[in-house]
Amino acid sequence: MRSLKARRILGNTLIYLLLIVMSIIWIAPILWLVLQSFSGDGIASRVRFVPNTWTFNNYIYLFSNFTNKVDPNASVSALDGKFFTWFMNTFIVAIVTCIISTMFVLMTAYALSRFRFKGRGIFMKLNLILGMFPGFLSMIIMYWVMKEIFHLDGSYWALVIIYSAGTGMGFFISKGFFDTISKSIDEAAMIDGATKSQIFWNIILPLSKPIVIYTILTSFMSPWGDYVTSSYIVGLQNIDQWTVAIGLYQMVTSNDYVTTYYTQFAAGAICVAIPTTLLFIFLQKYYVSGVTGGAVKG
Amino acid sequence: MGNIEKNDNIVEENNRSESEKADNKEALVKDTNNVPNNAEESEKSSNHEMSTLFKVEKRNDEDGEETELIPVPMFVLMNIGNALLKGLLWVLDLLLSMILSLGHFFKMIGVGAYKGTIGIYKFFRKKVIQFKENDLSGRLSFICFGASSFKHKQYVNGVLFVLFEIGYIVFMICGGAKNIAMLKTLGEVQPGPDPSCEDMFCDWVEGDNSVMILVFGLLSLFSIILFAYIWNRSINSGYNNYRIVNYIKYKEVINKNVEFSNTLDGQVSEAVNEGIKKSDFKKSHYVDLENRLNEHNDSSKFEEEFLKIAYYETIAGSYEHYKLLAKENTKLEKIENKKERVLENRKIKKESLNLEIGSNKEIKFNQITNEKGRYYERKIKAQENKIRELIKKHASYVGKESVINDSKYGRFNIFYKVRTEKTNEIDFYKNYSRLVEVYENSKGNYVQTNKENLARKNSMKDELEAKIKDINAKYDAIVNKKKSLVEEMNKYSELQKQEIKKAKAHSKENGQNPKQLELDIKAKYFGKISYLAGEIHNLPSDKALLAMRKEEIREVEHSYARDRKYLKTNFTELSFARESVVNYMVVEYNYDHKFAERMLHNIDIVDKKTKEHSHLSEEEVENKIQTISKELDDFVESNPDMYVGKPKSFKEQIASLMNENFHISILALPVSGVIFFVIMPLVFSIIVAFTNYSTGHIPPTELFTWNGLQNFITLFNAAPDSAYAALPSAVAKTIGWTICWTFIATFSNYFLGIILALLINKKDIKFKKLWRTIFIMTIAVPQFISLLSIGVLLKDTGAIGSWWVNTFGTKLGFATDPSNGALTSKIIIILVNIWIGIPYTMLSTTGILMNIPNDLYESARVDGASTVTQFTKITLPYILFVTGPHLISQFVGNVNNFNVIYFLTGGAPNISGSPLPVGNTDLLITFIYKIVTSNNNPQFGIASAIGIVVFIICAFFSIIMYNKSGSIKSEDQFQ
Repeated sequence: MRSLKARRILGNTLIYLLLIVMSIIWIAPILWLVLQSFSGDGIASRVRFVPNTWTFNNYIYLFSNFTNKVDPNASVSALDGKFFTWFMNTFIVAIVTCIISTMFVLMTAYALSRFRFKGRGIFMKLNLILGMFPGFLSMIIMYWVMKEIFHLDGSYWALVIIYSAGTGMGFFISKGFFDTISKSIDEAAMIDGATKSQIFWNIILPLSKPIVIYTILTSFMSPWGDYVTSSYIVGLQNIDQWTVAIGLYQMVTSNDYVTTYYTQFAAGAICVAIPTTLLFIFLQKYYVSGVTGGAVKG
Repeated sequence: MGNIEKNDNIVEENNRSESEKADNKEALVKDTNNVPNNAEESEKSSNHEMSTLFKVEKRNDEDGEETELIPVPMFVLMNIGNALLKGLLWVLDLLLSMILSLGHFFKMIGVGAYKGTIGIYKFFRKKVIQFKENDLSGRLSFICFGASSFKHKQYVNGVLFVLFEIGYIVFMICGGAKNIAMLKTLGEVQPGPDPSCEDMFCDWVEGDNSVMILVFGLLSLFSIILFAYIWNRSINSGYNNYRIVNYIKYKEVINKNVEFSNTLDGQVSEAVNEGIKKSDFKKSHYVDLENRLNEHNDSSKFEEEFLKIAYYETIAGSYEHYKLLAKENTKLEKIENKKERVLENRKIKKESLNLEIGSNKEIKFNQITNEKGRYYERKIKAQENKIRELIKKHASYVGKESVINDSKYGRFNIFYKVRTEKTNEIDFYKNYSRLVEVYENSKGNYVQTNKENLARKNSMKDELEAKIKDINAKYDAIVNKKKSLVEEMNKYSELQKQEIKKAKAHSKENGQNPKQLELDIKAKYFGKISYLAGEIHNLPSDKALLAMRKEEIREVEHSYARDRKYLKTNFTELSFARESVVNYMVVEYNYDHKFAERMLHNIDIVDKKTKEHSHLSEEEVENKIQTISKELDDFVESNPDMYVGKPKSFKEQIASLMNENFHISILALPVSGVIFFVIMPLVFSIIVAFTNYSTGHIPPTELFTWNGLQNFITLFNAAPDSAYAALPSAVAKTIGWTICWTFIATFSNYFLGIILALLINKKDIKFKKLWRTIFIMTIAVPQFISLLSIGVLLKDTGAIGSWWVNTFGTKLGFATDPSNGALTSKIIIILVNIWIGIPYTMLSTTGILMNIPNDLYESARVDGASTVTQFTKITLPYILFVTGPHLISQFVGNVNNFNVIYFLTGGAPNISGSPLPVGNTDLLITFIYKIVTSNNNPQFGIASAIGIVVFIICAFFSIIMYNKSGSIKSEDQFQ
C-alpha cells in the first residue's frame, strides 16, 4: 500500500512538472510578444528575450498620426497612423459578418435538425466535398464579381459579403446541439398552437444559449483573424481599406517597413489579440461546450 | 488506419459480449423457473460432479508436455519479428483499404450513373402521366406556367409563375443566349485601340472580358436549371391541384393499384420459386395484365396507366427481391446443415475418444463444442435477421409508386371528419330509444356490480401475493445456486491448498521439485475451479439480481394497481347507468369513446334548477334528427363539390411559410448564399484549370481561351525544352511534403491532444480550469499574430535563432537552410503546429473522456491492465469511434492549412530552379496562393489545376477514412 501511494505521488508530481513546463512553452511566445511591444529598442530588440529599454510609445505611435520617433532619420511612411483605421475596418467587418453568419448558421442548423425535405442528405454531404477544394481558388472569381457586379473594388465591404454568404455550411455543430433538444418540447408547443417559426424563436433559441454564444464567438473570430481572403480581395493598394491582418503582416514582413515598424507590430498584435482573448476567457465555458458537442455529434 | 479498424472491432466485440451476457442472464432466469422443483436433483448432480473430480489425473504427465525457457536473444528476435509482422500487416491493411476505397469509388460512380439514368427515365415517364391524366388547365401549365393556379383561384401564385416565365424569356433573348454562345471562345474582341483607325487619337475599344464572359455564361447555364425546376414546379402544382380536386377517384385508383400489385407480387414469388426466368415471366404474364385492363374497360386512361406502372414496378422490383431472398434462404439452410454436421461429427469424435466424464479434456471438449454451436447459432440469427429485413424492405416496396402520401389532403380529411360526426349524431338519435332502455335497465344492477368488483379486488390481492412469492422463490433459487457454487469452489480451493501444503512437506523428504508438484496440483484442480468460476460468472451479480427482483416485483405490482384502479366499487345508480350506456355505444355502434361521452348528456338530461333527471321525448328526438340532417345538408352544400377538396389559397401558402414550410423561408438566404458564393465560384475555379488564364492573357486588357489539359501537362510532364521543364519535380516535391505534413500534423495533434486531455482530467490533478485556460490562449490569440511572432522568434535574426548561434555556434537555419529538403524547417513547423493545434483536440476530447463509462476501467484494472493498456484498449478506441468524422475534417483542414506555413516560413527556403515561386516548406495551398498573387507571373490556370490535385488528394484519403470510421455512417442514430 505504501509503495502504491508513493508511486501515485511521484506520478502526480511528474504530471504537474510536465504541465508547468508545457504551460511555460505555451505562454512564452505570447509573453515575448508583450515584452516586445514595450520595447524601446526598435528592430534591435528582435534578438533579445527581454528588451533593454522600456517605453509605452509603440502604442501611442500606433494610434496617433506622428511619424516614427524611434529612428529620427526614418522618412514619413505610408503606414503612419493607419492602425486605428484598420482596426475599425476589421471591427466593422467582423461585427457585420458575425451577425449575418450567426443567423445563417442557426437557421440552417434548425432547418436540418427539425425538417425532412428533399435534398437534405445532399446538402449535409456537400459540406464534406466543398471543404476538400482549396477555398482560396474561388477568390479569383470573387475578386471579379466584387469588382464588376457589386462595384466594391478593393473595399472592405466586399469582405463582408464573401465572409458571410457561404457560412450556412457551418451548421454541423449547432445541428448536433439542436438534435439533442427533445422533440417533445416542439410537439407540446405545437399542440398549444405555436407555429414552427414561433417554436424556433421563442423556444429553441432560448434553450440553446451555449451554442448561440459559441456560434457568435467563432463567427466573430474567423473574419477577425483572416489574412488570405482579405489580402487578395482588398489588395495592397488601398491602405485605407486594409484590415489589421494585412497591415500587421506588411509591418513585419515587408523589407520597407520592418525596420521602422517592428515594435509597433508587436503593440498592434497585442491590441488585436486582447479583444479575442478577453472574449475567450469570459466565454470559455460556452466555447468548450460547443467544441465538445460538435465533436460528439460529428 | 489499421489501428482504427482494430479498435472498432474491439468496441464491437465488447458490445457483442455484453449483449451475450445479457442474453445469458435472461436465459438463466428463465431456466431457474424450474429450479425449485428440481432442487434435489441439482444437488445430486453437483455431488456427482464433485465425486468425479477426484478421478482427474495429472494433465501434464499424460500429455508429456514440458515448459521450456526461451533463450533471451531468441526472445528479443521474436519480439522484433512480431513487431515487423504487425507493421507489415498494418501496411497491407492500408494498401488493401486503399484498393477497396478505389473500388468503392468506382462502384459509387457506376451506381450513381445507373440510378441517374433510371431517375431521368422515371421523371419523364411521370411527366407523361401527368400530361395524360389532367384537365385542360393542368395540361396548359406545361407551356404557360401557372395556368392551373389561375383556374384554382391561386392568383398570386399564377402571377408569379407567369412573371417568371416572361422574365426568363426576355432574359434569354436579351443576353442569356448570347452569354452561353460566347462561352465557346471566351471573347473575340481584343481590348485596346481601335484597329480600324490609323489616327494617333484612336478610340479605345472596350473589348471582351473573358472572366466576365465565363461568369455570365455559367450563370446563364445555371439559369436553365432554375427554369427547368420552375417548370417542374408548375406541372406538379397543376397535377396536384387536379388530384386534390378529384381526390376520391384518385384514391380508388390507388387502392385498386395496390391490390393488383399485391396479387402480382404473389405470382412473382411463385414464379421465382419455380425457377422461371424474368423474361419468360414477362411474356407469360403480360396476357394477364391485358385481361385485367380489359376488365376495367369502362375505366379511364388514368387507371390503365397506373395499372401499367404497378405492373412494371412490381415485376422489376419483386423479381429481383425474391431471387435475393431465395439466395439468402439457401445460405441459411447451408449454415443450418453445416451446424448439424459439425455437431454430429463432434459427437462421433467424442465417442471415439472415450473421454471420461468430468475430466479436464471432456470439459474442454464440451466447451469447444458449445462454442462452435454458439457460433453457428449466432450466424443463423444474423442470417435470419437479414432475411427479416429484406422482407420488411419488400413490404414497403410493393406498390411503392402508388402509395403516395396523403398529407396533401389534410383539408379533405377535415371535411370528411365533420361529415362522419354529423352522420354519427343522426345515427345516435335514431337509436335513442334503445339507449334509454339500456340506461334504465342497468340502473338496478349497480349493487351487484359493486359486490362483484369488491370480490375481484380481494382475490386480486391474493393473486398478487402469490405472484410476488413466485418471483421471490425464483430469485432465491438463483441466489442459493450461486451460494452452493461458491461454496463448492471454496471447497476445492481449500483442498488444493491443503494438497499443496502436503506435497511441499513431502517434497522435502522425497527430494522432488516443490514448484513442479505445486504446478501439477494446480493443473489437477484447474479445470474444475475454472469451470465453477465460469458458472458463477455467468450468473448475474448480486446487485443485478437484487435489481432484477425489485424491477419484476414493481412491474407486477404496478399492473395490479392499474387494474384495481379501474375496478370501481363505489358505483351509484346513476354513475353505473352512465358508464354502461357509454360502453354499450362504443361496443355496439363503434362510436368513438370521446363522442359517446359527449353524447351522454343527451340521454341523461339534468335540469339545472330542480336537479331532476329526464330523457328526451320522442318528438324532441325527431326534431333533433331533422335539424342535424339539415345541418349536414347545409355543410355539404357549402362545400360545392361534395367529394372534392380545395387547393391551398395564396393566404394559406404564405401562412405555411411560417409553419410547416418554415424550412423554405429560413433556408432560402443561406442556401442561395452557398450556391452563388461557394459552389458557383468553385465550379468556376475548376473550369479555369482548362484555360490559359495567365501572364499574357490577363483581362481586362487581354483575352484568354480554352486550352484543354495543357495546364496539367505543364504541371506533371512539361516538355524538357520549355520554360517549365523544372516544374514537375518541384510539384512532386510539394505534393510529397503536403501528404507527409498532413499525416504527421493530423495524427500528432490528435494523439498528443488526447494525452494532454488525459493529463489535465486526471482525478488528482488540481487547477484544471487554470491549465485549460493557459492552453486555450493559442486559440484565443488570432493565428496570424501568434504564428508571425513565432516566425520572427525562430528565424536567425530572431531571439531564439540568435541564441542558437551563440550557444551552438551554428545557425539554426529556420526558413533559410535548404539542406536535406529543409528538414530543420519542416521539423520546427510540425512542432509549432503541435503548439497551436493540440489545445483544440484537448478541448474536444475532454467531454468524450468524461463520457467513457467508468466500469470499463474498473474491470480492466481488476484484470491487471496497465495504464498504457487501458489507454490503447479502452480510451483510444472509444475516442476514435466517436471522433471519426472530426478526424476526417481535421485531415482535410490540414491539407489546406494555409496559416501555419505561410506565416511561419512563407514557404522559404525556395526550391532552386523552379520557374514558379515555390519553396521547400510550401504546401499546395500556399503554392497556389503564391502563384495567384505573384506580381510578375500570375498563373491562374495552373493554380486551378493544382486545386483539382488538392481535391483528389483530399477525396482519396477521406474516402479511406470514411470507410474505416463507424460513427459517420449513422448520423441519425444520435437523434
